[in-house]
Amino acid sequence: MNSKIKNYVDVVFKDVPRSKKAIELKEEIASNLNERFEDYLKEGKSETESYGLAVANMGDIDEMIREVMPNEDFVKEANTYRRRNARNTAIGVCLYILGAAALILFSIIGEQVGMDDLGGALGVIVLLVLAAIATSLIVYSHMSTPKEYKDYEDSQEQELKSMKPKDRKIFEAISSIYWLIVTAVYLLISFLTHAWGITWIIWVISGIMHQIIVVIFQLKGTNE
Amino acid sequence: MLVMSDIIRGYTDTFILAQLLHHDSYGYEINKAINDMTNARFELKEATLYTTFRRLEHGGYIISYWGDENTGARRRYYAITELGKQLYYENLNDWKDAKSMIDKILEDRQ
Repeated sequence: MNSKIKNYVDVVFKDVPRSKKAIELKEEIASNLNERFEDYLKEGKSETESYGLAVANMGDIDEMIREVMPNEDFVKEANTYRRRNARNTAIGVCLYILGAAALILFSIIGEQVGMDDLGGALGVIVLLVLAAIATSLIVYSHMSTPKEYKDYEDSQEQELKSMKPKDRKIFEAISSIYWLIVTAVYLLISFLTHAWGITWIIWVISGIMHQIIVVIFQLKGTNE
Repeated sequence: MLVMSDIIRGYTDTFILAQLLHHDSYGYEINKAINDMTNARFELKEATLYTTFRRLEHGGYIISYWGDENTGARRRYYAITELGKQLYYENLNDWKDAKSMIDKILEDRQ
């Protein structure tokens, strides 16, 4: 593929969200345009002339692009799915934690009344039942989301989009270091204190703090 | 000439269907065939071509699939469906009717 042709198509699709439809159209245009370009070259035209002629034959690009842009209804529906999936994932995670809590609770009760085995078994059963519900909830959410909505960029990407390219790079760098530090802190504290039952709260706090960093970067972008 | 280009625009769908009637094809090849056929007097704009492909595919008149080219970029091929063939023959007959009607009206005045 000629680099100028590739560049041209990249520019045309710069602001188009990367849905499956848009990616396919882009690839189709690039391959046809490149073939036309090469045919002009074969006819003995210069590279500049061939490029100009190939691009000139594109016509009304705006109308074509409009068709692969997500319309309002699509965005609305995608958001509905996103909210539903977020809710189901949250409930799922909550059930996993409740399962672990139930296991601990039943074990303690079992010990107290002198029926260790029964307590442990009940705890495991409750844990498994809750885990089954949680897993099916999460799997159902993702399987029942139509593909085009899944392809639609997730909210994180949209957040990044509102930042300037330079800020985005800095943000991504900070983000990756941030999560590394959080993981290290989590493991360190958990291993030192053995309080695994409570240290997960570090993730919740870190998530909130991460969101604050996102907002700071977004505000910085809009101020300038 | 304005009327001429309007008439042509109304038949963009049928041009593409006609090309696909013989064999599956892709954007540039279809455009090149039309260009050759008309001795370079007419060629569809690429943007029109893609918009038409999408519309025809959405209506079930054509289907698309990706070729497996060994070199260079992948091509997106289109194939005509039974529904597409029906549409083609309907449009062809409409055109023939219109053409003979217009011929009669115009030539009677001479």
